[in-house]
This record gives sequence, structure tokens and C-alpha cells, in this order.
Amino acid sequence: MMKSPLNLWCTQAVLLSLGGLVLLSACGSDATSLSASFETPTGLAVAGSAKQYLFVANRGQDTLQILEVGKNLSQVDFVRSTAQFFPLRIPAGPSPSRLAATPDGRYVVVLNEADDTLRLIDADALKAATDAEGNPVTLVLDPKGARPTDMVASIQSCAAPCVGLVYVSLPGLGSIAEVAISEIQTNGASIAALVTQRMISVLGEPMRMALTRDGQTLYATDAANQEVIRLNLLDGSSTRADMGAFGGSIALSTDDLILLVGRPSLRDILFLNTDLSVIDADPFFAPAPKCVPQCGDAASETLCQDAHVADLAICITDPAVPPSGLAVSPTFASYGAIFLDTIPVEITTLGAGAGQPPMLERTCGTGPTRTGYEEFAVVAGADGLLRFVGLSQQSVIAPELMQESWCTTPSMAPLAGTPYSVSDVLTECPAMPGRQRFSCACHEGACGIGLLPGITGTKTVIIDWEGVLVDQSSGGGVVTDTGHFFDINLDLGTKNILPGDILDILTEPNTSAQCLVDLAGGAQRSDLERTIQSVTPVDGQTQLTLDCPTTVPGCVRPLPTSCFSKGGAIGYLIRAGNQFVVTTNQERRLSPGEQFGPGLGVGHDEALLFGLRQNVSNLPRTDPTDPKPGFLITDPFKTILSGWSLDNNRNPQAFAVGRLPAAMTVMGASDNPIVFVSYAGSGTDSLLGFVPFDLDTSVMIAEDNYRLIR
Amino acid sequence: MPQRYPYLACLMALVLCRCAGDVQGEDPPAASLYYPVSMAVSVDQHTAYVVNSNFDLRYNTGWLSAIDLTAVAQAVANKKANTDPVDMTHALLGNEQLRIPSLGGGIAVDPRGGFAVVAARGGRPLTLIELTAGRSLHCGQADATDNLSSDEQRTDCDRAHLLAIDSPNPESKRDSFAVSFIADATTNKNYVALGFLNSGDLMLFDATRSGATPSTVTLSPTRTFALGASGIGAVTSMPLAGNTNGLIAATSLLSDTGGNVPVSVFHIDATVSIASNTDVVSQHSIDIAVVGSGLTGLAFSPTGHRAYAVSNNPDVVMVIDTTPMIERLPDGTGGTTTADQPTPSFDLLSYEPLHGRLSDIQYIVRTTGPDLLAVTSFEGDVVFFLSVLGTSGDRVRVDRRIDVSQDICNASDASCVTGDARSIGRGPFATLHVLPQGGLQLLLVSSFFDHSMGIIDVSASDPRQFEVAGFIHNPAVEPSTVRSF
Repeated sequence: MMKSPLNLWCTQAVLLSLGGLVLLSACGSDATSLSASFETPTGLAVAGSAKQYLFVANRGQDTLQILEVGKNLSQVDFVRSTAQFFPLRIPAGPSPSRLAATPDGRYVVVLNEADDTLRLIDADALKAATDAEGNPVTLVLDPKGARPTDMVASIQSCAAPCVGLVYVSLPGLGSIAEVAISEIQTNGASIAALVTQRMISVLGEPMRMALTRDGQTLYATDAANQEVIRLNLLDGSSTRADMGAFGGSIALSTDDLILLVGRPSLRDILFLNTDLSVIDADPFFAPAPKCVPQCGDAASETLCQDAHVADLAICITDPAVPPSGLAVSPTFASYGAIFLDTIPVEITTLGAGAGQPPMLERTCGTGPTRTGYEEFAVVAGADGLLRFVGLSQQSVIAPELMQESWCTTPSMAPLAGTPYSVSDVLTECPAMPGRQRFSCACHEGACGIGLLPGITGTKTVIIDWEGVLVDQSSGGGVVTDTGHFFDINLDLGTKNILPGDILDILTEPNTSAQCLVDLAGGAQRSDLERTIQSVTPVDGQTQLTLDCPTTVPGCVRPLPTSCFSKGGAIGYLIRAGNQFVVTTNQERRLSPGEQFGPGLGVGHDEALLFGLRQNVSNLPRTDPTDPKPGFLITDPFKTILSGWSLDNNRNPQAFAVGRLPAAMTVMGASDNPIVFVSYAGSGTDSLLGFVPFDLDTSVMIAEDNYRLIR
Repeated sequence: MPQRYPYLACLMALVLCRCAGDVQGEDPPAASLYYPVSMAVSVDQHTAYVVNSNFDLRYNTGWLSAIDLTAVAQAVANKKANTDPVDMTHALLGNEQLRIPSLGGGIAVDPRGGFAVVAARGGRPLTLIELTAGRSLHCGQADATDNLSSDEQRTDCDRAHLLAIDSPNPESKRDSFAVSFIADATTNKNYVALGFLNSGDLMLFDATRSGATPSTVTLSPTRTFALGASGIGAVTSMPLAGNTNGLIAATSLLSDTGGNVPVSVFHIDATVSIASNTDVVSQHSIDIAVVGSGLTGLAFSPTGHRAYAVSNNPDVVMVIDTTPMIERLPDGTGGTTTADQPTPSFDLLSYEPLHGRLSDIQYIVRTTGPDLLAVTSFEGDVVFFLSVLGTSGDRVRVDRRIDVSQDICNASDASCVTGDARSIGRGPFATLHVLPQGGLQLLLVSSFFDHSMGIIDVSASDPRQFEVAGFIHNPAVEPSTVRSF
């Protein structure tokens, strides 16, 4: 049987990530045997024709730093300068932001945002490349105001003396600059040059770019329009497609057949074919709804026009026409992007290449083996975490957010002593639209839906029908002849008591006829209950008005003070009348038919959403001494992230290895890549290197696969 | 102008104990800057005001300086291109120096003109300044002594202009810094919003005038919002649908000690809060992974649909979506619940990492080319100019960087001491965008450690042509040797 690389990788990801915590200091000490540190590293490039170097653009230092990478991550270290203890730094101009390397690895091009220039670095000599006069090779991207923002290199070779082409987005001009790096040998010395070959107008404000491997098609996002641009570099023609939102980061699959575009405002990734048609990725998750229009109602659609497109893809049906709930919108397109719940800042793809066997096999139980994904997209989110998206070449399978335990669905199990089953209190997936926007997990016919691509882990949910809000069974309550109630020791105004709640009297009254309650003679406990009509502050105390005061003529259930000894002082409970007391992270009162998640009401913080049944009147109540009724929810969904730790309850918790990802690049062969991610900003400046998968060997040494250098 | 927390608060705390005491010290020098901490411009753009914090309490009061922007504009106009920055110290109006409490914070000028308020640490957290024609500064009866401490007596203010706040928790109202004017066209009211560093409280004062002159203004505490944050970093009015809507944006400086209140932006509807006697506050945690410790500055686009914030650790400029959106959700019973008012989501859209303790941000509207953000890097000794890209302003990029240049002062020049700033000085902290006569656009940058001010001409359409046109310096005082806290 073929080994599943994903399982191996998942295991190692967790292990390595946990190990990574330990490594923070270990690696740091190793890497900083030099007095080396990054300062706002916003650009990365792999270059060097003899050795493999990782070039890091330190925007805050106006320099490049260089790391030499050996066979694995344990052999990564700064290149030293001639000065002892200090790393080599190459002056790179003001605010170097992006880097690109020529296909032969001989040169690195530096984009300087602050003066709109390109500079050229000799990647073998590890110094600035020079022109015939010995001056550093610099290209001013004229005219002024071009605002070069992004740069990509072609991996195709070009005719001598050209040794490489880079493309620079110029949002200030609505153009893409094609810049050639040339090299001639004169008297045994290399003379290099940067030359603008073409300025290709695409209009708008082109920003981030991705270039096909054949170097013939360039894709760019546009800050002026919610469109993606496809530029034919052979003839300079361009076409556009609506993205539904402004695009941010952008990448191509390794076979160039899938274009991935991050949409910051929607916190997702959209997948496009080469003709810019949208690949319908099953979203699986979507943001917690904020504004959902009425189905077919133009007014409410206008009201929600700024809502997330996932909200617009569903609508609320007419409550007067059952079944009411959510439905697929007849007006708006289905939501078909991968929702991440964070801004996709950088995207890169990894793959074995066309014709290679799948990198991943997905087998659940004894079911049929599903065709695997040939490649992954690694997505660095603004939250600092790395996520992975499975991609299928030629779009055979919809892109999917990778997760661990993906054969396992969320489950619910009653807590010990719970007097009812899950299906007695929970509905099916609440208001599930026809097309899957959420994942639906069921147990005993009751279901919860996954909302956000988060990590729920294991959660205890207490669902206590008419649960106890106040437990004063030891006494302290006083009933008055006027039908009021207060506590001599406790201000009931602090206890979230509402009209309709229940005063459950525990002290047995005397058996006088006036009290009309003779438990020994067959009366029920419920005869000692009174419904609270109002909650009123009186002279610094909070007084409850009961439903059957003696002052009301015809009241059939009077309960005067004389029914109790000691002037009416009694032990009592106050229960939430006709409501559940639901406790997850906090205690809330919910009515039948309402929804809740382990976090807030609609699951803003957590991944699951549950609905309470409407008809629950026959549910048993619990007393304070009973075990709390409820359920254990286990949601195994865990996006494959860059780091894991365990919280106090041993639940997995993601931690960001770094903050503010700024650049990402890949080094090595396609079947054994090393991914580098830089994190930029004072206090978080660092470089993460990791091996995302290893097809051939098991991984025993964490440091070989996960390395953080500060 | 939004006002924001100075990164200096930690050191300020160290010297706070001296605030309450009787500080003898020297009298403030004439026509000079000393640890300048905040700035504001008059409504007619003729005068800039600078709060000199007297940060090390070397002098026995702080003071407010006035700068003649007409003189500055004239000097800029006369300066030849590509020449050294011009000494514009003569624009500092020595006669209009007003002694105010030490350890001053933010300053805000009433958009109607006529008066300004200055925040300060200590028992009287707000000073009322009258701004009369001819740039004259007044703070009540200058020689008043009634009900004033000896420190307060050394100021030019009387008790009516040095506001004390009656509070059951006086310590929570001692440490103000961020201050801004908030207008409410619905009720025709004007308020001063004041943020406190040590309590996370934000106080509103009714600044409605009873007459036509500035002296008829009285500041009455109207409402206090306990925002639950460990300090208020910045306070500004929100320009959504105009600038007179009673909407306030405030940032928290730190999360609370238990970490229960993440670093946040608060959106406050002052109008509804006052009318309903209920705090109408929404709290937005920007992104805990992005914002480590403190939002020190906040600026809005003219439409109010985008906010731009700077934070420390990590140092980052953030673009935040503040487009108002209504909430409309299924209620679980087949119906819907709808929020009464559209509310900005404050979702992060993008960020740009910078370095060096970002302290202030200023939004500069441009007629040619993209709008700009000016950002100061307090420890990086840099002023960044970032262009606001895209039709929605969702992305920013660094267009220009002006580094502090030191020791331009010629050692043989007897008029200066070594290190005297002749350009942008060290510790660039506060910025002020002004539009003086002659169609110029200038950016004033106060230099905390060099007791000076740099004046950058930002009139050119291309930020790469911006240059430091001049400076105002303090040749009599050595630059501070304090560089980090």
C-alpha cells in the first residue's frame, strides 16, 4: 500500500511545530553566533550559481543579508563578513522591499520603494554588481511617480547578453515594466546592466503579480478595480475578470493551470482557471453571518450590499411560509472561495509537477480511495499562521483547505448523568441551505454546523433546561403577605433574573389550609413554585413580585408569610423560566429555537453553531446536587497550521510562529522543498524555514524540518 | 487633528512623583522648544502651537509656543531648491509663549476657533487656552494664586483654566494625554474628548459656548466611558458622513493586565450615548497577531471609510475597513434581528511593516497623485511618506523616507552646540500638516530629543521631491542624551 505522505506530514507538522517552540532559543543561539539580526525583512530570493543562498532584504537596514543553506535546515547560517562576529551585509539602497533572482542564479534584483529604483547584486560575489565604470548597477524606473510595488522574475532564459527578465508592477503608471538583466564579459570581468525593455500598459493600478513558468503570461491584481489582469507578454494584450473584491496576494499552481488570488477584505482565496473563470471551490467554511438579506427582497439586499459575499450567497426565507430558515440566494452567486478568516498575505505553491503521482492520498476507513492532490498552496496569513490548501492539477478536485483528521467528523456525547439525549434539545443543522456553506456534524439526529475554519477541539457545553440561576437552599429568602419576595443576604438584582423566571421554594410550608400546599398530603413540588412577575429595586434591595400575591382577589395559590416559620424565611432556587441556561465559555440564557456556539451567540469565536429545539417543555430539570446536563463536543477539525501547542485543557491551540508575514519563497527541488517565510516589523523580525513534506524518510529530528531564526 | 499617546509614558511615570511636589527649577527660556510633544494649527492656518512638555522637569513649568506660519511660508518660498535647510527659528513667537503645566500631552484647537485645550498629567488634566486675534495666547489671569498649588501658580493660568475633575477615583483622572474636539450637528453641541493613560477612561466635556467670545466657554464633564483598556492611545472624531456626527474613535494602548481586553479600536457614538444615557460603544479587536502592544496613532480617510493606524511592537501601518455596515441576522425563529445603526467593522485590510517605534500618523489629502500618510519613527529617526493606493485606499506603500540628519551644525558656528539639529532632529515624534499662504503644503515634525522642529515642504506632486526646507532649533540647550526607555 502506498504510504500517505500527508499522514506522515501531519504528524511531523505537529511534532515539529511543538519542537519549534523549543527551537526558538536553540536555533537563535546557533544562528546568532554572529551578531546577526533581521530588521524588517520584506523580501526573499534564492540565488547563487555555485552555492544556494537565501537573500533577505532588510528594509530597516537598507541592506541584504545572506544565508547559506546546506543539505537541510540544520545547515542554515548567515554568511559572515570579513569583520569578526558580523554577518555580511550588502548595501542595497533605500528601503529594499522585494527581491528576484535570475534563472541562472547569478544575480539578484532589488526593488527599492523609497527611490523607485532597481539595484543589481552579484549573487556569487555577494556584492553589488558593477557597470563598466565600476559603479553599482542601478536603474531608475522613470517616469517619476511610477511607484514600483511588486517584482517577479521569469524562470526562462533569454538571449545573450540577457541573462534574465524581471517584471515590475507600476501602479502609478498603470503599467508593467519588463526589465532585462544583461551581462557581458570584458577583459575577464563581468559587466552587468539593467535595462527597461518594455513598459506595458495594463491601466488601473497593477499591484501583486504571478508569472507562468513559460514566461508568457503574467497575472496581476489591480488596486483600482476589483479585477484580476491577465497580460499576454508576447503581444502585450491584456484581459480582465471581476474578482468581487480587491485582490491582494496572487500565485499560480506549479502547472500554471490554477490562479490563486487572495482577497483581503473577504479573507479568502479565489481560484481561477487560465481563462479567468472561477473554479468552484467548496467553501466548507464561511464567516459567521453579519448581514443576510431576505430572499428576493431588493430592499434588504441593498441593506446588505456591503456584506461578505458568503452572506449574500444565502438569504432568509419568508417566516410566514414554512419551512423557514436559510436558503440559497436566487440573486447572488454561490460562495465558492476558500475562507481562511485571515488576510492571505503571501501565497506560494508546491508540487511534484505534472505527471507525478499524487502527493496525497485521502482514504477514509474502508471507503474508496479518493484521488489525491498533486500540490499544495502554502498561505501565510496576517495572523502569522500558515495554512495549506490542496490543489488538483487540471482542477479535477475542488481546492480544499487542508486539515488534519479529515476523515473524522465532529461528534457529540452526553455528559455522565445527563437525563436527555442530544436530539431532545438540539436541532438538525440550523437552517442549512441546499449548497454546503458549512460542514454539518450530527449525533443522534442532532447536528451542529461548522462556521469558521478554527480549532474547536473538545468543548464541554452545559445545556440546563430551566437551569438554576440562584441557589439559596440554605435559606435567606422571605415571602411577604403582599406577594413579594426578597433575600435578606443577597441582592437579587445582581443575578440576571427576569420576569417569567421561577421561584422554586424548597422549605416545606406548614399544612394550614391557608397555605394550600400539603406535600405530605399529595401536593406536588410544583405547587410551591411561583412565577416572577417583576424585578424591582426597593430601598437598596431587589424585590421580586410573585404571580399570586394575596392581595389579588381570586388568587388560588396564596403563600402568606405565616406559611413559614421564622417570619417567612425560606430556602429556595430561582430558575430561568422556560429557558435553557447554556454554558460554554460563558453562561447565557437561551430560549427554545435560538442558536448558540461554543463562543458567542452566532459562533464568532468558535467553529460550531447549534440550534436549540422549539418544543422542549417536557424536559426534566436538574437540581443543584445533580450532575450538570450537557454534552461533550469534539471537533477534530484543525487546519494544518504552522504551530501548535496545548492549552490548559489539553486542547490544541494554534500559535503564530511569527507575526506579520512579509515574504515567502521556496528553495530546493519540487519533491523536497524548503519553504522560507519572513516576518517583518520591530519585535517580530524573523525568518522561518520548514520542510513541508518528505516523501522518502521519516522525520525524527525536528530541527531538520523547522527552523526559526531571529 | 487626532491626538495620540506618546511612547514616552513610561518615563513620564518615573517623573510623575515630582509633579505633585513643588518643582523650583529654572524659568522657561524665551522663544525655545523643549521636549516638544504635540502640535496643532489655528483655524486660519496662520499659527502653529507647540506643547513643550518640559519632560525632564528642568524648568518650573511647561509652556506653549506659537509659530508664525506666514513667516515660515515666506522663508520656504525664498529658499532655493536643493540647498541646506533654512534656520526658521525667527518664526517662533517669543512674546506669545504661555506657561502651562509641565508634562503636557496632546493639544486640540476648537474647529470654531477661539480656544484650544491641552492635556497634561497631574491633578489638573486639562488646560483651557484662549486664542485671540493676533495670535495672542491667554490662560486666564496670569498672576492668579487662588486655589492653585505653587507649581500651578508659576503657570500663566488661573483656576478656571486649569480643570480639575471631581471623581470618586481621582487617580483614574490624573493621567490624560489624547484629546480631540467632537462636534455634533444634530444637537449643535461641541465636546472635548479626553483619553487617560492610566485608566482607559475617556471623558467627554461639553464645550458649548454661552457667548461669542472664547472666554464664554466652560468645559463641563458630560460622560465618562470606561473602555476597559490599559490606557487610551489616540482619540479622534470619525469623519463618516461629515465631521460633525458625534462619532469618536479611540484606540487602546495596551491590553489589560489580564489580557482580557485585546488591543482595540473603540467606536463611540457620543450623540446617542448622551441622549440615551447609555454607553454606545463598540470595541473592535484589530488582530491580536498584528497589533502587539499599542495603537499609538489613528487617522481617517476623508470619507471615513478607511482608517490608518500605527502600532508599536511590531511597528506597522495598518489599513482598516471602517465602512459602516448594518447587521441583519436570522434570529433562530424564522425572523430577523436588525441593528439600528450601521457600524464600521474595523476589519484589517492590509499592513505595511516599518521600524523604529512608530509614534504618529497624519493623513495628507493631495490634489495630484495619491493621498499620503506621514508616519514618524521615534527610535528609527525617520519620517516615512506612504502613498495610499487604489480607489478604496486599501494598500499603502513607502514612497519616500527622510532620515534624521545630525551634526549639520558647523562646529565652528558659535550659535549652536554639537548635535544641534539643523534639519529633522532626533526622535521625530509629532507631525502637523499645515497649509499656510502661498499654496504651500508643509509638514512640521517635532523632534523630541533635539528640542527642535523640522519643516518639510510637501508641496511637490512627487514625494521624492519633498525636502526639508527649514528648522526651528534651540541652540541654547544640549540635545537630550536619553534615547530609549
